[in-house]
Amino acid sequence: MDVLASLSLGFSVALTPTNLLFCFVGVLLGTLVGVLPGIGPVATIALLLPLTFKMGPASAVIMLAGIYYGAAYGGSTTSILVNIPGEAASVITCLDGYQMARQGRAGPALGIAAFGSFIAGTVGVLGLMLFAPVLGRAALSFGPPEYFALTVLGLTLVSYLAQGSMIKALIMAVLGLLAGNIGADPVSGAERFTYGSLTLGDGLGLVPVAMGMFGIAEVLDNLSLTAGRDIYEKKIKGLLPNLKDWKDSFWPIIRGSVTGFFIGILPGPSGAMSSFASYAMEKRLSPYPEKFGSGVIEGVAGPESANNAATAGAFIPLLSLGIPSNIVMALFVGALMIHGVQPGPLFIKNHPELFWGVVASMYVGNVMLLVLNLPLIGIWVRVLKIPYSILFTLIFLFCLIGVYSLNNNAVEIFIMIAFGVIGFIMRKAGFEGAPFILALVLGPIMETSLRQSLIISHGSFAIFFSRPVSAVLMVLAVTFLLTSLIPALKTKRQKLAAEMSG
Amino acid sequence: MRRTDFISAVILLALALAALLEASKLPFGRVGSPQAGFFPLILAVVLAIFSLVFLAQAIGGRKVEPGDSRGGSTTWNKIVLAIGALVVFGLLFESLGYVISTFLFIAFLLRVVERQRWSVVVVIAFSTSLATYLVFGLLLNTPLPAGILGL
Repeated sequence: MDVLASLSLGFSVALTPTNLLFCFVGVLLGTLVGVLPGIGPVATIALLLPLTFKMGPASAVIMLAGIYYGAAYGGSTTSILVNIPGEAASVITCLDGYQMARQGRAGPALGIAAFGSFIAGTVGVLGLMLFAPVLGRAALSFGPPEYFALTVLGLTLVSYLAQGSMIKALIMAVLGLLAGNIGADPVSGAERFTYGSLTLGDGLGLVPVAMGMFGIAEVLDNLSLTAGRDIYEKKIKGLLPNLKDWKDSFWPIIRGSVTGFFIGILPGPSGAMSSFASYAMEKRLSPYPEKFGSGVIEGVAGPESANNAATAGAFIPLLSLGIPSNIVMALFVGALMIHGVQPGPLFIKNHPELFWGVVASMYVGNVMLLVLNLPLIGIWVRVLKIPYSILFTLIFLFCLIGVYSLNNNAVEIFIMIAFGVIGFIMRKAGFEGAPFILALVLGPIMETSLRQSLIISHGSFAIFFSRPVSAVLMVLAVTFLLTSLIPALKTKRQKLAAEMSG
Repeated sequence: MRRTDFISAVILLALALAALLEASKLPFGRVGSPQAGFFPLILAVVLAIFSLVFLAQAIGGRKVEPGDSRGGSTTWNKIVLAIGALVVFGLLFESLGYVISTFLFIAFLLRVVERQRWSVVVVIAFSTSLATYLVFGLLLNTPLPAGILGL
C-alpha cells in the first residue's frame, strides 16, 4: 500500500465525528494538564485509561495521543508567563521565554512556541510515517538476542543521558529491573518476592509506581520548598510574531524539529532531552550566543519545536518494535492490549487502520492545538491563577482516583503513597526517577529475551555478540557504560551535560 | 567524603545483599536453561557492584553535597502531614465512601497543612468532592466506593 492510499485510509478513520471529538477532548485535556505544573500526561492518561476500555481501540489511542502531544504544547505557556515549567520538557523555555515576557514580548514568545510546535508536530508525524514501517519490517527478523540488546542499550542510554551522576542513574535502573521481578515469573509463572500478597502477584503496577514517583513526589517536593509564584499580570497583545521573529526562528524550528524527532526515538525523558539539545545547538550556532538567556526568540522557537517533534518520535519504538520508550508509551501498551492489539513489528501490517488513523489524527490534532492555544491563551493564564494550596489537593485527589479506578484495589493506593515517599527522598538525595520507571517497564521484556537467548545458545553469552544487529547494539551499550567508569571520558560527559543545562 | 551519597550507598548495598539473599532462595536453573531465580540473582550482583563503585566515589569525592541547590529551608511538618492525610484517606476511603472521605481529605489539607480560613476550607472541600463525584462517578462511570451514605 502506498503512502497516499494509507493516509486516506487514516483520514477516513480520524475524521469520523466520534474520533474528531475524542481527538479534541484529548488535546484540550493535554493542554490543560500541560499548563498546570505538577500534573502531567502520565497522571492524566492513567486517570482516563479505564474509560478508554469502553471505546474502540482507534478512539482510545487517538484521545490518549492527543493528551500526550497536547501537554507538550501547554507546557510552554507556563514557562513563558510564570517562569514555572508545566512539564519537564519546557524547563529550558523558561530561560528566554520568561525574559521575553518581562520585556513585554509574551505575545510573540507564545505565538512562536505555538507555530513552532505546529511545524515540528507535522515534521514529527511525517518522520513517524516514513520510519515506523521501515523499522517495523526490519524488526521482523529480530530474535530474543536483538530484543535483549535493545533493552540493555535503552537502559544504558537513559542512564547516560541522566542529568546527575551516571552511576546513580545506573543504580536506579537496576533497582527498577529488580522491582520488575516482583510478581509472576514471565516464563514459568512462579511467584517471586510477593510474600503472599495478591496485589503483588500481578507484579508492581506501573501506574501506582509512576504516579507515586512523579505525581506525589513532585507535590511533596513543591510543598517542602517555600517559593512564591509570580504571575505575569500584564495584558498579552500581539500574538503574531513579526517578520524578523520569523526570520530568526525559521532555522531553529527546522533544526529543532529534526533533532527532536531523532532524540524522541531514544528511550527516556526524550521531551526534556530534546529541548536541552536544541537549546545548546542554537546557542552554539548563534552569532550572538552571549544574548541567550536574555530573551532571544531562537531560545524559545528551537526547544519548543524539539519537544513536540520528540513526542511523535517516541511512538516509533512502540509501534515498530513493541518496546515502550517512556512511561506514557508504556501506558499506551496497556490501552492497546486491553483491546487485544499487540504493539510490535506486525502492528502496522495487522492494524493499518489503527496506525494510519492515529497518524492522521495527529495532523488534525496539531491544527486543533494551534487554534486552541492562540486565541484561548487568556483562559490558560486564568487557570494558572489557581493558588497552589488548592491545586496540590486536586493533584493528590486525581492521583488517588486514577490509581483506584484502574483495578478498584485500595492496596495500590498504598503502593503509590510508598513510591511517592521513596521518590521524594530520592530527589533529595540526587537520584532520578526516569531510569527506574523505564527499567520497570522493560524488565519483563529484558528477562524473557535473555532467558530465551541463553536457551537457544545452550548457555553461551557469545550469542549477543555473534549476531550483527545485537552485536552493534551491545557494543554501543558497553561503550556508553565504560564512559561512566573511565575518568577521562567521564569528564567529557559531564562537560556535555553542563553545556546542555546552561 | 560526601555524606548523603555515603549514606545512600550503604543503604543500597544493604538492599543488594537482601536481594541476593532472597533471590538465592528461588530456583536458579542452569545458564543453558535459566529458572525463576536466574535474573534476580544477576541483578542483585550487578546492584552490589554498582553500589560499591558508588560507595568508593562517595568516600573519595570532594565534599560537595548533591541534590537541592534551589535553596530555601525544607518544611518537614507539611510533608509529614500530607503523607499522613494520604495514608488515612487510603485506609478510610472504601468504608466511608468517596464523597465523605474526599471532603475530609481536602478540608484537612487546606486547614491543617495550608492554614486557609474555615470559610474557604468548607466551600472548596464541599464543591470539589461533589464536582469530582459528578464528573468521575456519574459522568465517566469511574468505579468509586459507595460507603456508608451510598455516595
